[in-house]
Amino acid sequence: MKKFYRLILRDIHLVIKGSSDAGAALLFYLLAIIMFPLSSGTESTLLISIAGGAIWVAALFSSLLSLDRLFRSDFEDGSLEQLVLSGISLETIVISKCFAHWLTNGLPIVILSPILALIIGLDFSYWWILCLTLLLGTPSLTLIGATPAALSCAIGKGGVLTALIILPLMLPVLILGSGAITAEISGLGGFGHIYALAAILPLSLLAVPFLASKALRLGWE
Amino acid sequence: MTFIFISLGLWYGLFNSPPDYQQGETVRIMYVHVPAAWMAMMVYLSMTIMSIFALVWRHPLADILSKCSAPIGASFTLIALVTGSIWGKPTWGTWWVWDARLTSVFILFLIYMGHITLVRSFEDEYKGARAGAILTLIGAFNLPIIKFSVDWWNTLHQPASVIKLDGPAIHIDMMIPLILMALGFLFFYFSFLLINVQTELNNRKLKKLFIQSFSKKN
Amino acid sequence: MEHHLMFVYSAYFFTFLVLILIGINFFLAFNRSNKNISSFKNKAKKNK
Repeated sequence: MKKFYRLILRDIHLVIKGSSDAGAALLFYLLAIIMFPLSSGTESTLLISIAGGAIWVAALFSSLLSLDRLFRSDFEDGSLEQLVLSGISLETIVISKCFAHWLTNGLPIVILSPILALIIGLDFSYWWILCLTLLLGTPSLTLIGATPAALSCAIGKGGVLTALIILPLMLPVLILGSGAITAEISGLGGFGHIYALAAILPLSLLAVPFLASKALRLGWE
Repeated sequence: MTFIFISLGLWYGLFNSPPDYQQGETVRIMYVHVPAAWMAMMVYLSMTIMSIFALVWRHPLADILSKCSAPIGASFTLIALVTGSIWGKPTWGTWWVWDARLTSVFILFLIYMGHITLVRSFEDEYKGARAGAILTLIGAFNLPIIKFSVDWWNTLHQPASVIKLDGPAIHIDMMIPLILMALGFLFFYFSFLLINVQTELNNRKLKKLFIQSFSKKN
Repeated sequence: MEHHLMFVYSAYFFTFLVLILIGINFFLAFNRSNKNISSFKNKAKKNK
């Protein structure tokens, strides 16, 4: 257990030092959200109706950007191999990296979302469902994106291809998340969506370490 | 192998006289749309099983089968999407709507395309095929979403009427051409899967021979 | 229902178009790989 915490602390250290682009991803989140009111006019009712979805889309893109680097820098300079050789299982490393990623990307997204809801014009009485869906959804986004990130290590390059693979996989989470907000606003009740989101999380938690480890080992062959 | 083609042609030919067209002509689209959609899902399901074989038991042929199934599955998915859209225009009045089943099949198409791109972006085909297996498994969760989406969300697409727990709800006269087309598509898949696998094996052998010829010359 | 035969025809046309196109493509790739292998084997025999 201690090793797990130390791994997470290590990744957070790297973020604070600035040698990863977690901060940039968060800035992108802010920028992406600002683009919506700027592009559709500040008074329009159109903006209010898509506000919840827009925040979700921005969250998606933000995590997409920072996921690319999830394993790559450690993979390339060999420190990932060192960690495995020192006796820590690859699956543990995967989970710890995902958790650290969520702490530096997903959690800030959730925390910032009420403020951004104000900016984008979402009906503020619904801030709680926005936060709840993001809270349940962002860990799944991290996990779902982890395996393609590991695959991109095996390929060597990445970038657009990784994004191309990650985006369709993230779409159900997006649909459920913003669907919950829309359903709640229109009075239908978003809790069905929330339950589905809650179901995706443990499923991906089970499957992803196994698959991501396979992908990383593929890169070492 | 051409034998299989001929049986394909026979199945296709037989369907061309669907006995009951009282519902109007557009229902005939069902005879291509539904089997195509069935194939789209079935191909992905078999790819998932092959991927499990490839990753867990390291069966050498399994990931080749999975890799070669993908383009066929993607084509069936495309056919299902487009024929569904064409069917939708006269019956529902719209080319497309973002209901649960349409969206999730579209996601399936995107996953197929991502798979095809991923597998071919590796220098080493063996690695590429294995990476494809991993990707297939991640995307596999989409499959139950497709199947059950029409039950969970009550939107535009028609719910299941063929495979239900208490037997099919569709008239037998329409079942026959439906099943015939489905079988025809199935044979199409099998025969072209075999061809593609053989092509892939040929290409891999070709690469090996090519590399060997260099070492022999020295 | 009115005469939506046009839709039916286009749906079937599209379906078979796709199937025939990819079928031809797969077939051609297969033949090409066969030809490549046999030409390679002939080259190897000639060089010996």
